[in-house]
Amino acid sequence: MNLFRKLVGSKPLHENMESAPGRSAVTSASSQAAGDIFPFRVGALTDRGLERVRNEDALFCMQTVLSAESEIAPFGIFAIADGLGGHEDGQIASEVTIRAVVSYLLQTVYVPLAGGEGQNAQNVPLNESLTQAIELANRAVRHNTHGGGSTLTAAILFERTAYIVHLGDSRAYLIHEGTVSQLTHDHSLGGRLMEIQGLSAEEVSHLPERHTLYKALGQPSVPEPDIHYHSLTATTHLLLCSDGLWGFVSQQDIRNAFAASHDPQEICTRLLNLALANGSDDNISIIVLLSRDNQAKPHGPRA
Amino acid sequence: MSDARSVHDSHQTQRLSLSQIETLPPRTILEERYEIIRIIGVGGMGAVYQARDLRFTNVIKVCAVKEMINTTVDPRLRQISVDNFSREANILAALNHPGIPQIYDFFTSGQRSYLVIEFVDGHNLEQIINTKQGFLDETQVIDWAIQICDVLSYLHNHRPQPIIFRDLKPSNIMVDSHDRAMLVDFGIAKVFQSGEKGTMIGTEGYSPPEQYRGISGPSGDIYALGATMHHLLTRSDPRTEPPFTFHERLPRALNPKVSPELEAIVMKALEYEPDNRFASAGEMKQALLGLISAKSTSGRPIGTHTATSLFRTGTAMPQDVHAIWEFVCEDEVRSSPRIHDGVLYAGAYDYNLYALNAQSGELLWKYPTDAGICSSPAVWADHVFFGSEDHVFYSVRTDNGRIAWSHPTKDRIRSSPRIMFDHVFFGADDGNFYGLNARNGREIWTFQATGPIRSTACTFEDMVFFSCGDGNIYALDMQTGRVRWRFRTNRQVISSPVMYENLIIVGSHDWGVYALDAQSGFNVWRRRANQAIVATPTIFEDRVYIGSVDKTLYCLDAHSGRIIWKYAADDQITSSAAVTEEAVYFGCIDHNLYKLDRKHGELVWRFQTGGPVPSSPVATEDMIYVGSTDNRIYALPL
Repeated sequence: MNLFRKLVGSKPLHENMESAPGRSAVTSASSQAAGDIFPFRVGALTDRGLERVRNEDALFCMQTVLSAESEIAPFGIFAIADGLGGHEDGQIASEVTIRAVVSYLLQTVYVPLAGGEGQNAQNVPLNESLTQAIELANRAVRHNTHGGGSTLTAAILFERTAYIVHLGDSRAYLIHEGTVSQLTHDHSLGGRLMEIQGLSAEEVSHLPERHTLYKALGQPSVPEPDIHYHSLTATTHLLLCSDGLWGFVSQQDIRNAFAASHDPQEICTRLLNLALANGSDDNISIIVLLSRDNQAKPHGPRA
Repeated sequence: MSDARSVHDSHQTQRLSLSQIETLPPRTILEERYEIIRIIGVGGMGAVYQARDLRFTNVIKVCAVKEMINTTVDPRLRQISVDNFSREANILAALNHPGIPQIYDFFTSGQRSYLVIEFVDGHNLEQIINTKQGFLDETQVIDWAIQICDVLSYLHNHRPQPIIFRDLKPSNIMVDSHDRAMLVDFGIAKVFQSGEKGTMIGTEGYSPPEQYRGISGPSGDIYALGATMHHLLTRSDPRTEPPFTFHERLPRALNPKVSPELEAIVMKALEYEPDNRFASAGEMKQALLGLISAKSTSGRPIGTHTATSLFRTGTAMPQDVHAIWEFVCEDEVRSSPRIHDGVLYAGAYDYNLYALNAQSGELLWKYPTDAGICSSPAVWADHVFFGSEDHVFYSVRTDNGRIAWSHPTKDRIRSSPRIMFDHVFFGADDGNFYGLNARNGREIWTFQATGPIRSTACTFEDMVFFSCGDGNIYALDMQTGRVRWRFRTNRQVISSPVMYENLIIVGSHDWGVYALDAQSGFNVWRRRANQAIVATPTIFEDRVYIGSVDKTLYCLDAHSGRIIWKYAADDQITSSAAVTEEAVYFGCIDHNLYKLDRKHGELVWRFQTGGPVPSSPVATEDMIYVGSTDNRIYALPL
């Protein structure tokens, strides 16, 4: 936070607060459409849910804009980590994952961008930054837990391009004009069975091993993350969530939630309540990036 | 159908370390008959011993004793385990096949159950893979697989009930000193995994997908044999790879020595749908036998490959190729031609811009400037645009070669123009980047960089990008010419940037190929060659093709920069590749124009010209054109 203030000065900007793991809601500034220089409004929450003793999810949200003569495109980091393992290993794993990845990305990606020295070949390329961040997180999980692990699904935003880095079975979705598409592959046995044999989520939901992850942070050899990028148009929204949500709401439910409100925090709450009503037995974490251009006109909820 | 085992062992949740269980010390005698000699190994549920059957007093009759330690606390469950164990033992006792160790005895003593079986003096395939350096011989793998097919056939045809092995993998196949392969470990008493949420890793690797849905049949054993063979041939352990990804790691891609016929057999066994695999172990055995006989009749192994999978060299016998026409200029042709409406436009060092009939090579007109032309022209709205080393930029009518307008700069022009939205963009050696009105040549804006601009610009939405001798890549606003961002490499950049999705891809003299985010200029990935990159990358279907001064043509994945293949030519590559669905064409300082197969980078042919080829070839639907420093422009068949 101090770094950001130092760079930008005391000019009041609409900014979103960094969310520490475990807090139940994130404040978002109440900006309206006019004069808003952020491409997205952000809502986020994390909830222990009905059945778990601990919240083993962790998340991070940061959206920045540097407005000056030589403009820096809006930039953001949004990440969810879902921890697993006995005792407190799950909590520790997801927390160290988020901290390791975020601090590394801030150092190698954001600081050069904000520092104004201009882009040059000395900077670490984004792909390498992401791979290194994963390596550091993997080491941190192994070092701090006994066989604990964590998923990671993160979006790094450069103006309107989202770079997704992903390991495990948390998910990122794209919502565009009423269509919901899943951007990430679930690195779980269930996910793989669905991919190769076209099994439905329903059929897979009965398999006891469906949540077994074949890729996660905390493995003996560093797992290779999925890295891909997507151009987001003015009417595209992004949703990141842990399986406590996607396991208990359908894509239709997601579509309806986005159609029913123009407030990203409200969308998070709707989805949370729906998951709980559907019997979600896990921690639930949600990050909603609502495209600014679509915020003024809400549609009515679809049946 | 009964399974050889009724419950599953979970290696993760129930592994007993040697310290937890007390293994039987040597000289222990079981059932007053079997004397323990030593421990051979430790399995999931207990140890395996080498023992002596004391009933045979005159000889040392050696046998193996497998121990199952039943630690289930619930006495009812324990009884079930013991019952299962005895049921399995009875089935096995009824089996008689050279590939299955003979069962001699079984008994239960307290909390432990024992199976006395034939002692196999050899190693299992997992041990063999681990101790062997390099790849196993294909013939050897085929031989083992045939033997295993034989055993599977026997099990699957067993009456009254077929037996499914269900746990086929390298550690369950033993090979003795006579190269006889045997299936071991018929899975005594395994316990179901509890399926706790969030268990990490632990997929079995060799198991077929349907097994996770509780479906088990003979085709599952066939899949597991395919998975085992895949591991043996490629050294790639399926347990450490994402599940069910054999089709992404084809045997020949990892071990080029594998014959295509064997790969086909292995991959058929690995089909995800059971119905698509071999209908029986017998059918698979026939297919494998077919390979062996083919090898012996032809006298040499099928499908040997000498090249490594990544690196291709020009040692293959190229096809013969001849030019359809050649056109002689008065000096070197160092730039790429442009083809438009059946007319080929090219500049030469003899000061002229030529317009030739693309089919016949016949001269239509030529336009003389006052110095050499080393850049490529652009064609638009019935005019051809080009710059000359005489410092002037020209717009000439395509129908008759008469000048429409010209625009002076302060130094030589060695870059090729780009036309977009009625603007023409080009850079000059004077460090200026010009945005002119393409219809009348009037200047809209000029941007001053700090080095010569020799590259072609590329455009995207409202931005124009170009690279500069000062080492920078610039992104300017197309309307105003103001800088949006710049990216500095460590040396000059001659290569032109090209667009791929949201990335700008370009090479630098600092040996790097860079992919930059078009909006922000942030470096997304980079790939280093072993020398400078002068050429402009060519993008085709998610791949980047780029040559380097290090004599190599690289094929990279456009998303990540990963090298897919590379080809070594005999000298520097300074020009861009022309890429079609089938092939990659590039010119080289070694005088040749090369044609490579696009997917694998293998040489198809090489065409020799009379001098170095520093310029890029151009492909049309049926021809490939290139200029050479032997003063000629060539037209060749695709």
